[in-house]
Amino acid sequence: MTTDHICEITGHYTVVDSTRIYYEECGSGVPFFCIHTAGACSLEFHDFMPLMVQKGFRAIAIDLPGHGKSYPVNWQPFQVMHEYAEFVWKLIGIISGGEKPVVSGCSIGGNMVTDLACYHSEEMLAALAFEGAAITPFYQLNAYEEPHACPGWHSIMEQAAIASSYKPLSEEKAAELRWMHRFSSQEVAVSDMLCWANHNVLDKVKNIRCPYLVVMGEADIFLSEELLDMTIAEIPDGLAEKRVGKKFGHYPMFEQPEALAQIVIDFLERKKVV
Amino acid sequence: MDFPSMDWINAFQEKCNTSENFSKATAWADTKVVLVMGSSRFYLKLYRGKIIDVMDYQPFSNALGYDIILRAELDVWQKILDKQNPFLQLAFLGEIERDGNMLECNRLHEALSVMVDEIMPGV
Repeated sequence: MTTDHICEITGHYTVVDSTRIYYEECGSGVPFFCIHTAGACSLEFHDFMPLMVQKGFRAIAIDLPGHGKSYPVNWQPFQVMHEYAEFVWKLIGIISGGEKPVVSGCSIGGNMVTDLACYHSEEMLAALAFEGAAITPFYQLNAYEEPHACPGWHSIMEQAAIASSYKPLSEEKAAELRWMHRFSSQEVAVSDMLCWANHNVLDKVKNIRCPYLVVMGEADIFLSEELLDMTIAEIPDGLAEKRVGKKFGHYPMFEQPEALAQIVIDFLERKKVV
Repeated sequence: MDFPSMDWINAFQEKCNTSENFSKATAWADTKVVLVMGSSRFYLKLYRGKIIDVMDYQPFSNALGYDIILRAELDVWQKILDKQNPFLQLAFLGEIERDGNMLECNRLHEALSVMVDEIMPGV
């Protein structure tokens, strides 16, 4: 982990539907939101946020409800992606103060961005889904919500993160990647995975009216190019593009932040968002 | 050394028993693991940070049975030995079957990952 930029990032709290929610930000300009992966928190974007600030954005990374320093809503995790996304949309509205944002996210965050784009794209400058899609079939893991049903859950989650990253991965990066998945309870992380498994907005993507970019790392084991092609096929007016990134897996903002920033800026410039 | 063979399993046991990661991940294990590699089957007894016994496993004649079984065809194990794919990916895809006492299997996931991803390729 590099530390020279950490001091520029500041933490804040706000309240959404009576729930205390934490977010971090740096820079000023157009709001650029970052939504983290399952069972993790805003730390995942610490290497990426300053790169967006350099491009003139106000970079904002949230802790999803029940993750990091954010409380869960009504003390329950979300288990339906659209409900999860609608809550986050309220949060985005509060933080951005009515200014149209760019919204990005990774993994379940990428799925959430795709859901948000289906319902709110006219109020967004662009939607950037990293390692997410309109549909992401996976196992139903309901049985694992309770720790007694799966005592090794956190090891499975951390090993899954390592398995889905590009190799070679240094020991230090592997250790940091594991630690990033220790910011929610088992109940919340499994619920995130249920949101991932049950997410399907294929019949809604035709409603997207803002530039939409979907990015997948070549080493990601949770997605396929076929799913990305299905995602962008029905998005109208040439608004959607797909990129398969070299030398990263499921965590581009952590594995290759500079390369991801380049992909993002190239897309936003061509779409005249910046 | 042929793979799979008792010589290979003996060498695997030795590697596990000198691995700090394996020792840590099995510090509170008391678990019988069977590896099914094609038509070969091997029994491993994990106890307090070590593999304390290995043997060829014949279900009808082994009275000890097992807690966890990892089963795959030889070409799948070859992917592990060649570091082509990680254990969890092959498990997600169903190419490596994890079965038996799933509570114990999940409890010892870290140990199984160390055995398969870290140690097997180096035997």
